[in-house]
Amino acid sequence: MRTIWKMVCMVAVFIMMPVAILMAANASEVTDVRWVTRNDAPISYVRIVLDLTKRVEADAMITRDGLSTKLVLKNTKMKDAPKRMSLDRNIVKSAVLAENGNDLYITLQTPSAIEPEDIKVFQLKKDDSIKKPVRLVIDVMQKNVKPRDHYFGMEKNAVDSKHLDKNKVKYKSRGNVDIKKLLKDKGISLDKRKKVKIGDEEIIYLSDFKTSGGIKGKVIAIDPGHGGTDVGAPSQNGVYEKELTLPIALELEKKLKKAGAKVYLTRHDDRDVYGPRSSAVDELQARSDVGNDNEADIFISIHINSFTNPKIGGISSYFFPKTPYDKKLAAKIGAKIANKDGFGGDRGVNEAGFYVLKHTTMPATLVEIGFISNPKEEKLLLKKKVQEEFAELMCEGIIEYFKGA
Amino acid sequence: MSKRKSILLAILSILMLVFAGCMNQNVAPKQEVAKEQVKVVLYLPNEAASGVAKEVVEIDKKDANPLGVLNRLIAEEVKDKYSVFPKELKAKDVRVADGLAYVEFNEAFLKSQAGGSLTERLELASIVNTLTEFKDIKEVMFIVNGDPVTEISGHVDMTNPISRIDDLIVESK
Repeated sequence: MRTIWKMVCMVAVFIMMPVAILMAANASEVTDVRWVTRNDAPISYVRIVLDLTKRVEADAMITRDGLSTKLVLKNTKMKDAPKRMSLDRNIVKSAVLAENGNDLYITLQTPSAIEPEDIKVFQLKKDDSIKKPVRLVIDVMQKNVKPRDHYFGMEKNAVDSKHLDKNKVKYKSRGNVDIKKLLKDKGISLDKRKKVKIGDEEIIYLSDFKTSGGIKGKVIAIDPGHGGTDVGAPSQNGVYEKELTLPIALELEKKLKKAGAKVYLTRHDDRDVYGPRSSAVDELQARSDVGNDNEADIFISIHINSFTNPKIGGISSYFFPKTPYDKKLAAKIGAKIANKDGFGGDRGVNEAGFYVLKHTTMPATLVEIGFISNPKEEKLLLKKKVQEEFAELMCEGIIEYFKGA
Repeated sequence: MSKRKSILLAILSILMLVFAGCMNQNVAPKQEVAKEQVKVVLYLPNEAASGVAKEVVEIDKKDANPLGVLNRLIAEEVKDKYSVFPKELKAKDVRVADGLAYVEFNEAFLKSQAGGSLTERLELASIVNTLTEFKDIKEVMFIVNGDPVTEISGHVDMTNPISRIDDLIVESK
């Protein structure tokens, strides 16, 4: 919420009251609401369409139990629209539209828990040719159903296993395995703190982070990969990944602090962040939480890669596109470090479903600085000077990122 | 008599021909079924370790199911000098429900070959992309000893099913 409050203050101070009053008077109005169950997709979905007098800013979140989804339309009023609707009891049971201050709250109740990927929200432009005003569209997919085999736009080239083996497509069954239940029994929670995608290239976040205005005052979380009982990848000479990620992270901390940032490290010494011999999920969530709990603006995880072929080398950075800034962060840092002398070259800025990238709420990147399995790169990475140089290059990349360009 | 004999002989010879024909039909096609091969797609890590490349192989029709194809993938991959699959890896079972494939491996699956995220990503991309060639498989989860696997070497988020990793598909070996 920090950014929103600051923005509100700025509007009040610099643009002054008359404008604010004008804005309130100029609120968007909901003139109609329609809905339909669509079956022309592998999974059926409910589409809710709101007619609006002008574009709105929207925000969305799903409760932890997944049964209730709330959309907030900023500076929006009700006009000729129903306040409460019963929809498809299998997909979205009900929708309630209620004004709350200047905003309009839309609460959807679903019969089953939904995930952010089950809901899509986007706005359509005013289209005079079909006499349609600005529209806000909410699509909610049905849960716990098997995707249809045949629907419009299905893949054509996929192999059909049933066709390949008509006689026997038997999957030995020892009872159904419910993965989600198994995970729950193991005490592993599926993270619900994810964002709902708002289409039309607008994406709304549940957490706030700054992406511009210079590095000064920014909150940065740094995660030296592995540590303690989790040694990371080993080299042929007995060096562990955890021993190389830490000194680079400590150097980076120094440089970022000097540049005016507030820095949190997931560890300052050789230790497990969650606890010795803990599961990767506990360990990686604990690291993500250092960023989440400190409301960091960015999260940087530092790793050294490893591969079976010792000749493979090079530098890569990774992102998971949960916000439009993850890729930018990875690219800014990657551009600085990827072509460092003596290393195997640029292995690219890549999308990857790494845990710490998915479970942090702010833009995050994971960098793989060289290969510990490559003796030449390992030797370089052990040098204090090289570690400092990488920290300096990463710091430069982060400064670039916060320029906001 | 001779007329009768000749009729009998004629009937006998016709019967023999019919039987012989039946026997032929019974035996020969069976052998063909056993030999019948179908083409399946595997994704194997390329030499530069920049991704997984498509490779079409022939497989006995009886093995052209997710489990058979997965074990063929393993057999092909471990031939590589720098295999990313753990030694002794074996797929024990593949069950498919609602587009989700539950793959049961032996314990070898829990041991990464090199520990790095590249090894982990290529291993997962190879398995998941090969399995999602089957139209009824959209996502994959892993099981060892009846428990869901949530880590290999602590990089990729495995708490949710993994869908096809198109980003890692490269043109050729």
